[in-house]
Amino acid sequence: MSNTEETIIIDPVGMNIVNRIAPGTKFKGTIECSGGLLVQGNFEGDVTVVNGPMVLMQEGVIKGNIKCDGDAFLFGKIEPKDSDEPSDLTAAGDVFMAQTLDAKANITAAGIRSYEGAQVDGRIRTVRKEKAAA
Amino acid sequence: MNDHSITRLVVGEAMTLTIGVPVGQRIQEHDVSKTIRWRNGRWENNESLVNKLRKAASKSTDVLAVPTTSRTKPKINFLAILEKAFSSRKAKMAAWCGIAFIATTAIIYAGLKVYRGGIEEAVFLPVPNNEAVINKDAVRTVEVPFVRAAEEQPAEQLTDVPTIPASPAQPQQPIAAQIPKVEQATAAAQAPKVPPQVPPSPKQESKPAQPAGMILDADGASNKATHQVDHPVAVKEAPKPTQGTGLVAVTPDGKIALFTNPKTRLPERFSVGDKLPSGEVIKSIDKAGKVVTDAKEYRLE
Repeated sequence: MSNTEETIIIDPVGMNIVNRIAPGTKFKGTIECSGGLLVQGNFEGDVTVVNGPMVLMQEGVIKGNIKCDGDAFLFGKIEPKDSDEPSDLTAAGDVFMAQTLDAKANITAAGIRSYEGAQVDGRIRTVRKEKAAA
Repeated sequence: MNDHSITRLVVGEAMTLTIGVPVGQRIQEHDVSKTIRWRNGRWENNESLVNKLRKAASKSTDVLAVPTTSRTKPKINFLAILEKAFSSRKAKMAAWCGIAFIATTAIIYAGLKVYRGGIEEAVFLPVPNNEAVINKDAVRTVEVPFVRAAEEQPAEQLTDVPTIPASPAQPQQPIAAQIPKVEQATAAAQAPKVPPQVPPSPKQESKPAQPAGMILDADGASNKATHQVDHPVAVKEAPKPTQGTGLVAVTPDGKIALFTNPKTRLPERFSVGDKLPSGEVIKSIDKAGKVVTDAKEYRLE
């Protein structure tokens, strides 16, 4: 196994990321995004992302239920719900758990890409892509 | 303004992020060798038990691999056994010394055999004693019946018996010989019919009843012959064959007759009961020289 760190290029234009929660922004509620979502702020609620990935930047914080029909790039923090239940993240594609991830959530994805340093406290499930999409 | 510009404006530019060292996400080539996969009825990429044992034994390689599926008996590699037995230097030297010793012994034995065989196969031809000179003075003829006097003829006189010269052209010389008893026995062994010769003199022919005896004076005092004979040959010279009879002498009882063979010029002896070369048996011998066999009658002529 290779010990070299991998890098990934997040290109909003190429990955169709047209939605953004800017740093210092707090959002509480339900949002449905057509296109990818870039979270650099604080989001609490239910979010559904279609036709694009979800990118949780290192400074971003998500709490709630996240659904994505693409890939999910997790660099930030996923907090549990107010009932101390882990959040739920469901992705039809692959979930990239980066080294800076700190999540207390149940992650369900078609594929799991874990990297050294990622902290996940929850259940990790893998499913087939068609079911995840459903 | 197109969407891309808006996106760039809203979201920002492309960002390169370090995601980290992947964990359990890809099986490298070196990882494959550690896996065990079942294919074609056997485990792939699995080191055999024999190899493992050999590696564990490190220096020792005495592992006999016996096939489990084969029903034949394990073959014994004699070369491997010999190689193992003679692996040490001392054993090799001892083996080579043994081989050299065996080869040398065989060569020597073969050489001795050839040498001895040559010696044994050599024909020892009697050297003619050309120096034997018949001394006429030592021979005298007496007209007395032949009497065997074994006590008067000691065995030492064998050496004084002269030999027959090769040339038969001296038949007129009266040669008288008295064969001693011992000499007769020896002569009988070598030449079965070696009788003392009586020269065919007319006196003898007229008196067939009393054949003349030939006395060979072999006494050392009177005999001036200095020759020595290696083998007891009583016949010295074949007398000239005369017409009529070759009979030399016949014993009074008519059982033994001595005559001269005209072909060989040698004296021969016939006795009653002898078997001729033709197969006939002598029944009687006439004093006149007629030999009667069971088939024919012969005259000693």
